[in-house]
Amino acid sequence: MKSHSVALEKGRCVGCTACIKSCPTQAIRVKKRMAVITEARCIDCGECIRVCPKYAKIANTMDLEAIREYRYPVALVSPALYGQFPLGTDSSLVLSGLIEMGFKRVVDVAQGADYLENMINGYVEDHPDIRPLISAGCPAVSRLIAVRFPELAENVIPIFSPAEIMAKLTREKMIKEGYPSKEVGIFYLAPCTAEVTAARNPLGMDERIIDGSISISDVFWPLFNIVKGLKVPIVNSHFSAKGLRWSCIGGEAKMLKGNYSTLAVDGLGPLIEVLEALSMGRLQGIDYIEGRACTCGCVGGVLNVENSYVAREIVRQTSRLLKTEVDMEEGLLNWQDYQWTHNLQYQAALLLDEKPEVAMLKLEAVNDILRKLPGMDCGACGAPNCRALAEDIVQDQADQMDCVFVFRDRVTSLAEDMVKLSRKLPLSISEDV
Amino acid sequence: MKAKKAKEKSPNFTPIVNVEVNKEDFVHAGEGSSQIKANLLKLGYSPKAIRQVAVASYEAELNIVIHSLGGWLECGVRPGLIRIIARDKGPGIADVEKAMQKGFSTAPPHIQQMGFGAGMGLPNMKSCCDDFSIESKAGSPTVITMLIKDEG
Repeated sequence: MKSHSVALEKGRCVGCTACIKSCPTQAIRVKKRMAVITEARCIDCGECIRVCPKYAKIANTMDLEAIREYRYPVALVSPALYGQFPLGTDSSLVLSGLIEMGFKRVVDVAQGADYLENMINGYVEDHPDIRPLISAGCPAVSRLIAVRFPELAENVIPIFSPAEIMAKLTREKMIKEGYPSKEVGIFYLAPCTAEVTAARNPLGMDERIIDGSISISDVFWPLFNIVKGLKVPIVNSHFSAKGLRWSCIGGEAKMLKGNYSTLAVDGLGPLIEVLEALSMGRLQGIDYIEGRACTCGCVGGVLNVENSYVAREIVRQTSRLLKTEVDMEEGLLNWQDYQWTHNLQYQAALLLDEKPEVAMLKLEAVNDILRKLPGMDCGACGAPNCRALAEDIVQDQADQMDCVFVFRDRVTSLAEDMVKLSRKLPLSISEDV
Repeated sequence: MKAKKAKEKSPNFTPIVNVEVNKEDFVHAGEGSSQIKANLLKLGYSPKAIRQVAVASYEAELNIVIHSLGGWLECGVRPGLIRIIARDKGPGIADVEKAMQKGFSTAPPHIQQMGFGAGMGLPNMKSCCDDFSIESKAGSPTVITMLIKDEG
């Protein structure tokens, strides 16, 4: 399965345990001094990339050269990109810089967010029986739900992301203008690994609509140097203040027009707490949840270069100069035309066994082993905590002696036995009666 | 002790969670239910069953926190069936029939101010499970037993 976008640069990994603890689905183990990711559990949130002190966790993205494979490369520009430039940088100059870099056309994802506004409002109105609805705007959140909160899958709004909306519109438009579809390559300048994966392997859809993703961090410096020298824009950006702010936490929730009660939650830790509460029926009266895996929203994505709080402030300040509504080329779009082909599917990656009877026996075995482990959750064994080690042991992926404490106790008791034995003399020479 | 008794009564349920729930401990209310949910995911129960269990067990846990002197939340499973037992140390319910009515609550004002005790706990639990039983009388412990079927 090469669909994930979080990868490991083997030479750099020293086998420390920083990443195993940060993973929200406990997908990482350290084995033979190297981090190993269980693909089925990975939700591509990028937390491991963020915490790795050796920069060994990397994003599996394309480099800029990839755009040359297409005659008409198109850049889908994440609004987070504007948060990377110094305050006051003209967004039209940023887009013009991308044209200079070789893109034939530039498309703003913030415009997709403007289209999204009507879609989510329509969806919320048309589904009064599902509350709260959960935004699918952050693919890491959707994947987290698919793995850890499958009982909430039906609450997730099954419609396109702003990037997907723009990719679909752009391709349709270019085909209409006479461009051969095969020669049009749509590249997403993405702020995070989850978006990169979503482009490669879209949620709720069988076919991809984005041809490739390039990390903002890879584009930024060459682009910055070009933009510095530009005075007059050759293309213009076109989106509203709301569309731009969609990249900051709370931006999507604010798009709702009715008197709805919303929660905008950023960061995986707080988000998991909210989803736990929701799953238990504790969030009565909440209509909408905008969850984002990164702090501050997409501006905090792991592939950005600027600090997430600074980027958010730059986006906020920039949006103050924009209109709250802009005329959209396509008018208002309906969610029905941008719906997933299937709903979010449960990914049973935490299962102990396919067969319920066997899973039950394994769970009992896990609990038995857990009682013998120290409960320190130190991670020295390579698993994030004692329970995870116990599960690995039951799954034949690890051994009890992998626990340094169990191992030490065993050595101590063996040593004591050795001492006892060494004092034991044969009857022939023993002085004991 | 209590867990052992329950195990003896119905040997076909494998106990997976048994946690103590403290009186008026709102901060930790929900941890038992959360543990139950995490275990059911490992065992392969369906999202639908997990959703029902999560709500039913949380309401039961919260009831112990709000109304009782403390107690225990237990979950036992067998293929296709999940059983939740909430038992407390008293003080018992004087009129069980009345307590089962929607909106009827004996929660003190300070707890209602916190947004709890709206009188929906027991009716909610009942609506989330396939079989619901409650044993209680004034001055004795309350035992709630809930069964949730998992048809996949």
